[in-house]
Amino acid sequence: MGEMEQLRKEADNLKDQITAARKAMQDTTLQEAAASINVVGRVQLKTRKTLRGHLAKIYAMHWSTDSKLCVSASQDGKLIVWDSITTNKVNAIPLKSSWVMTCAYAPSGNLVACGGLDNMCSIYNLKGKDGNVKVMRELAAHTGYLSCCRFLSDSEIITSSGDCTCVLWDIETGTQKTIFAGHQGDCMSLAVSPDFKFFISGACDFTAKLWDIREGTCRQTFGGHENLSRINYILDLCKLYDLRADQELITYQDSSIMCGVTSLAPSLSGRLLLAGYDDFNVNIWDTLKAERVGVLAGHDNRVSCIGVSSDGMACCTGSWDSFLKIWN
Amino acid sequence: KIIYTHAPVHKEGRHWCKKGHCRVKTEYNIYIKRLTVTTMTSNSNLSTMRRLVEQLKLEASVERIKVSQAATELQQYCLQNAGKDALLVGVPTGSNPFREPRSCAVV
Repeated sequence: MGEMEQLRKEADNLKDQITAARKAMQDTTLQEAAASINVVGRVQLKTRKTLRGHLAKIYAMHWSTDSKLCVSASQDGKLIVWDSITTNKVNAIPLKSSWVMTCAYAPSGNLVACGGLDNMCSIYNLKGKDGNVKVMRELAAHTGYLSCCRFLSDSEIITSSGDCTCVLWDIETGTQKTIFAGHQGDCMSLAVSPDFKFFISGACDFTAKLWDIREGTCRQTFGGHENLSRINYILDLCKLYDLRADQELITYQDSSIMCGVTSLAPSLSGRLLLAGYDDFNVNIWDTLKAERVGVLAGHDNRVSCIGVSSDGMACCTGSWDSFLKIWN
Repeated sequence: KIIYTHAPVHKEGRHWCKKGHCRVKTEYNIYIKRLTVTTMTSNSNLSTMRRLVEQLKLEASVERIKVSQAATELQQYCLQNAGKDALLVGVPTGSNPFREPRSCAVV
């Protein structure tokens, strides 16, 4: 047997081992374990504010950690920082490239970042000395579009790209500190753990990977170990995976929902899962019971992004109808 | 080896206005999800295969807990923090920063 054949056999064995090890932990299901608790009552949130100002589709939004300011990115080539309570525009930043796909607010509130089809992540300093907001750094090295970015601090940011990699950057020097390679499809999104030690990336290869930021290694992969012999059609589903049990706990689906999920955000306690869909609505799920407990209807086009503020007070939705809405 | 890509594509066009009266030119851009499948040649990849096997060994060695424990702790976390979750339990009008307090007429 050639080495290639041997390695292939070893890989298949390991995949079977992982599947078996996960099955061995399945002494129950989340459905059974949560059988004794009741579904939460109907959740009815109202639009409290509408943020008007963008002239084209909104692709991304991100709350500041102060739960008051938020940043949104639109195809009109602007990044707008909003005061969500007064609905005033604190900053309207013109972008070099209007094909923006993501934006992020630094935890400190000093910086915002964005990127898209220009393959770069541009960092803007909101607290410049003369009051003008200028590009502080342009992080260029990705060979594919920038799908998502998230700050770890004012000096480090993680980006995910259509070139199938995620990168940890040193903002000061504009260089790549770590390249997280392993996905076999465009990386579409990422989320950083609250302790900033790990992040999860989701990609078009149907997997989500948990990465150790300092080690630069992939610790776990979700959704990819099963050998897919055939793919009939792509069904957009929402699934909950548990990191410590290393497997899927539950799927959020309903026969009446026929379209895909564009964005997700859990509420503060995690009991509610807000998901934006292609049918212009946001469905609110009871995370533990996998039942729909509410709908946010109010946008006239696809809901492209959603975020819950850090203090859990409100949820913000951004849409292709060019408006952002604040709900609670 | 199969690689999937999701490249955004723009499309402009015309459509009938809602009442069906006239053909209104409306610019709309659609991002079409194009899942293209590209097969890579397998020549490149003895070293890639070796790395894949090492990665799988790493992932196989992860310490796992039982689903029952994960489910219990998830429920506990949700229930413990439910009181602070404004979207879940609601927030009184007076203390909702996003709502103007109703002004009362003083007679």
